[in-house]
Amino acid sequence: MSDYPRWLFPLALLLIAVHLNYWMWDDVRLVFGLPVNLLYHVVYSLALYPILRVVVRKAWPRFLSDD
Amino acid sequence: MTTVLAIVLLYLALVLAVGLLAHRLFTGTGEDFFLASRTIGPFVLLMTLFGTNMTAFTMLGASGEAHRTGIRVFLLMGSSSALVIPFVFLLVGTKLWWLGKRHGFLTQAQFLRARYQSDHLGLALFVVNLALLLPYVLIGVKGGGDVLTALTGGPQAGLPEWVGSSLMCAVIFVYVTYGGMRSTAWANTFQTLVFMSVGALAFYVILSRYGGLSEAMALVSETNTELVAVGKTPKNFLYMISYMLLPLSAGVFPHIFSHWLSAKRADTFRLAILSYPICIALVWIPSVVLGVVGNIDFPPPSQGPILVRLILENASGVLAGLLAAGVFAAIMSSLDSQTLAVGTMFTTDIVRHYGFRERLSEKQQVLFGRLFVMGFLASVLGLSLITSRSIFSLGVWSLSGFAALFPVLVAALYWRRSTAAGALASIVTVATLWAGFFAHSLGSSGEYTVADTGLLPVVMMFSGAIVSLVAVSLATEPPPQEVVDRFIVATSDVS
Repeated sequence: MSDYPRWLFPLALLLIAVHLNYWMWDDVRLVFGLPVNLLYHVVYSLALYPILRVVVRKAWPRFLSDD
Repeated sequence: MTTVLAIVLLYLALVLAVGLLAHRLFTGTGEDFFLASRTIGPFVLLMTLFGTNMTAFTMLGASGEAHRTGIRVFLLMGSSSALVIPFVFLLVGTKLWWLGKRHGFLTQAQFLRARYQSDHLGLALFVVNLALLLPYVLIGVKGGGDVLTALTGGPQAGLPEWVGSSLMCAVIFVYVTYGGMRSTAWANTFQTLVFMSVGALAFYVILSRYGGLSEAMALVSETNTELVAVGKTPKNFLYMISYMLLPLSAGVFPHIFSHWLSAKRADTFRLAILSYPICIALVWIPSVVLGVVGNIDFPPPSQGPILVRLILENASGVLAGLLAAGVFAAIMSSLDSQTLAVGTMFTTDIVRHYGFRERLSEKQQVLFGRLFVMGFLASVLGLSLITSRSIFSLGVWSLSGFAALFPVLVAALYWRRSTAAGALASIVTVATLWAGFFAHSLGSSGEYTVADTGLLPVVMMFSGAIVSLVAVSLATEPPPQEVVDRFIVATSDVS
């Protein structure tokens, strides 16, 4: 994985941990019309955009830059 | 029935026209047929990668699963795909594109043969890929037949299932074998835009009939609380972790591999990596919400796909036809890429590799590829009429097998010490475990998990793949340094 910065792997692990929102899995509230667990994961999916933007900018491997 | 059929036929004619139009740019070379001469730009790449990954599994399978088990299906498959797949594109897709461009690869088997200097490995991967692709193609063909039957009056009064399935297969066969990758990519882009728009339309129209999203969800939550929660149990936790492995299958699908290689530049991947999670949310949310809302009027078990029942109940003839076209679009945007991949694999990994290149003209090789595709589609069509497994469960089995092959590809790209024997052992382990678990699951009711723990068989297959890969690689001679350098060192050295 030497083509990629060292922080990429911990970042991926952190994103996996945040994905597993175990603490609220029994919550049945509706927020903005959506079940709160579903809303959490919609927000999670949309929040990946700015995170991936940083990843693509900062972790783009050098060997691809010439192509 | 007539309106729905007319709109579906019109839609199929439009797809065919787009596919045939793209053929006008065909340059006549093999690379152009299989990879559109590696000229696909960012938007078309995003649409084809996304459209190819969204199948009957998403539109019909996910809504059906949400209907039975609630919103947790989005956590299981939607948001985990939104996280995992962009990383697979970045860490595996771009690297394979880079190597493919330098070495002229068209298929994964070609890449593994060159990386490990092993003929058997390429053949093993060809066989396993084809066997795993079969159930995945099957759910598309079956889904198309089911939808047309249900929308034209059901099993008694409507068109038989084979009509919808055959229509789809015939249209796909024509533009895929005639126009190759460029036709497939253009048709995919058109189809992805259609099913995204139609999904939004269905979401709006159907929820309006229930007084909007909040009212519909409040109704469901009053009577079926379990559908709006996930359920905090250790078994569910293991279940969720298991499902996070399934999106890794996107890194091993032969049809995704072909689309990666068709990209014009490395930068072309950026839009797909960034936008994939947003596209997932746009398509999965309507599908899951409508599946859950379907419980208001149609408690499980539903006769036919729940999405179709909702469409029939809440939309007029024209709208029902448009929604049927949307479902067809989602299914066909995957089926065409899978069909092209099957043709590419057979022509490249079998016909050309085993010496027929010299004995057969270019035209005859292409003819063999087309006949193989025709035979493959005909077999799938036949199987679709006799299989009774749910779309969701068939899809999970296929994804599980592909996901378990992921360590082999990653090792080929990143682990210098991995050997041909290790990779072969890993593929054989996956095939053996897959067959064993599948046979064991046949007697069980509901979704099969290992010893009813919540762990899906994919976890065992994935672990088995890693253990056999590492153990056999370390027990065998390291591969020649100069070969490994061509595939691993080279990328780190280039600045």
